[in-house]
Amino acid sequence: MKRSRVQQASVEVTVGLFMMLILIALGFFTIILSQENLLGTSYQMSVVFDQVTGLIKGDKVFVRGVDVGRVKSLTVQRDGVYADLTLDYPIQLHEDYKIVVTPSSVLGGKFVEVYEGSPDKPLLPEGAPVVGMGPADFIAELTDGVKALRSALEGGGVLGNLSETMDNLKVLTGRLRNGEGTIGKLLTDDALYTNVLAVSERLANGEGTLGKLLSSDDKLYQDLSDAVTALKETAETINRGEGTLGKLVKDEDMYKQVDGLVTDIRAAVDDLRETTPVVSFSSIFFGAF
Amino acid sequence: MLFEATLFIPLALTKRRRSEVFNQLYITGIKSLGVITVVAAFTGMILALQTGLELRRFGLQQNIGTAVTVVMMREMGPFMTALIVAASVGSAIAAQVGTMVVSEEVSALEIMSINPVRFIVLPRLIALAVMMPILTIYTNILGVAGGALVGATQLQVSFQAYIDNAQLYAQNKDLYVGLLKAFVFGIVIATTACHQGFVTTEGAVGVGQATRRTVIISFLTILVLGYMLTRVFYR
Repeated sequence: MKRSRVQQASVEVTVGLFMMLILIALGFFTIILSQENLLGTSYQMSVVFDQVTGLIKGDKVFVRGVDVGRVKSLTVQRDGVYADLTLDYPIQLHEDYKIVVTPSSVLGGKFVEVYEGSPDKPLLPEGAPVVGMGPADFIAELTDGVKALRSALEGGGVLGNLSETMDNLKVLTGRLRNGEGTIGKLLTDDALYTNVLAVSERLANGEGTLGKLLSSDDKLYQDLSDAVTALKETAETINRGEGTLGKLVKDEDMYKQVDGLVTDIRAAVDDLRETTPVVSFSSIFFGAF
Repeated sequence: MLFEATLFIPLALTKRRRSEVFNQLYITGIKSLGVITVVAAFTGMILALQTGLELRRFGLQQNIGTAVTVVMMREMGPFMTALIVAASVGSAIAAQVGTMVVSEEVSALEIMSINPVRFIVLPRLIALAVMMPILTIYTNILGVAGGALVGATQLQVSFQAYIDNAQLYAQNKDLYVGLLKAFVFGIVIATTACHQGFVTTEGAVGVGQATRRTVIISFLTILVLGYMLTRVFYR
């Protein structure tokens, strides 16, 4: 009987402890999810917005990118939306401060971004209303951007030119597809390919001059090389003034003699041209007798 | 039967009957912890991994904190707990009550003027109604912890970032609606199991059928009620 009571007590203690632990965890979870700062000091700030576009209770408050608090509550009044912010430390706003509701991502969500203002500007007077700015409407901005782009394209004639270019391209690609023109034939007619293939085969087989030049048999190359060597030697001989051609090129006397000879021959020819009619006439005249 | 049982709730808190309630709390809660621990931790880990891998394609894997916490608290916590309890505790209750019926122990109680509902149903009903939300909190904690573990080890999401993100969108409403679901599921499991036990016929075969029916009916009711409660609280 005594053991049974001990066992029963053990069961009750175990169940009690387990439930107590879980209830403590529930309390912890509740505090965490309520986002209340129960242990530290918190500071309140009220900001009035024209509209907040989806800002909700519990959204974060950032100062220079640091998470410093939460949106505690939102109240709609006649003069705007009042957002009560709970902050971890007091914020001193200068006259050029800016408080903006900002989208946290393209998927949604908002946070409040606080710019305290320049330190060289005077502090905001105590009790002065703090006014915030609503979030930028990305969809509206995007629409405006697209409209502006479209207007610029249409107004500057870019769209017309682009359309004309596209039409030209369309015609061009149509002609290419139909095999018109050289490029069209290149694309559609495989005769050129066949010819190129045949030529390359002939080259590979060492047929023709080019083929022989390209072939592993270097006889033609050797002949050409010999011919070039012989020409080179001839040119060098001429350059040295050797032989008739060399003397003609290099020897001044030889040049003069040849020049004189040519002059004499020209004079002889001229004389012959002048005497030929007289000789002819005399021959005919005296031949008649 | 449920209405009749609720009438006897004050009697269950008397010193004489309290030990039976504690026994049932022990069987329902402490003895189910092993299975629930494994299921809860891996549910959170799977949720984190599946969600995180998809979100990583867009560079948004830090949002798994919100995804896992909200899904566990709203739906998966109470749902998984209820399935495990229905399969283990509910079936055991049906088998026990069914055996008592076919061996005419219930008839003997009636002959002794002991109300079987008060004697058999009430402690089990209280135990399941109380312990289901408790077990659901435990499931939620382990699921969220499992998700954090996967986030830290496989998705490069630090524990602090995970918790910060979870806080961003999870609300107390999510937690308490989940606990209300668990409470309702506990009552459903206890009522179904006891009812199937009481209507058992045909000896051992009937006990087996009662057990099987308890699990099936509990599962279906949990699913349907889960949807309806979600519909009521999240329009």
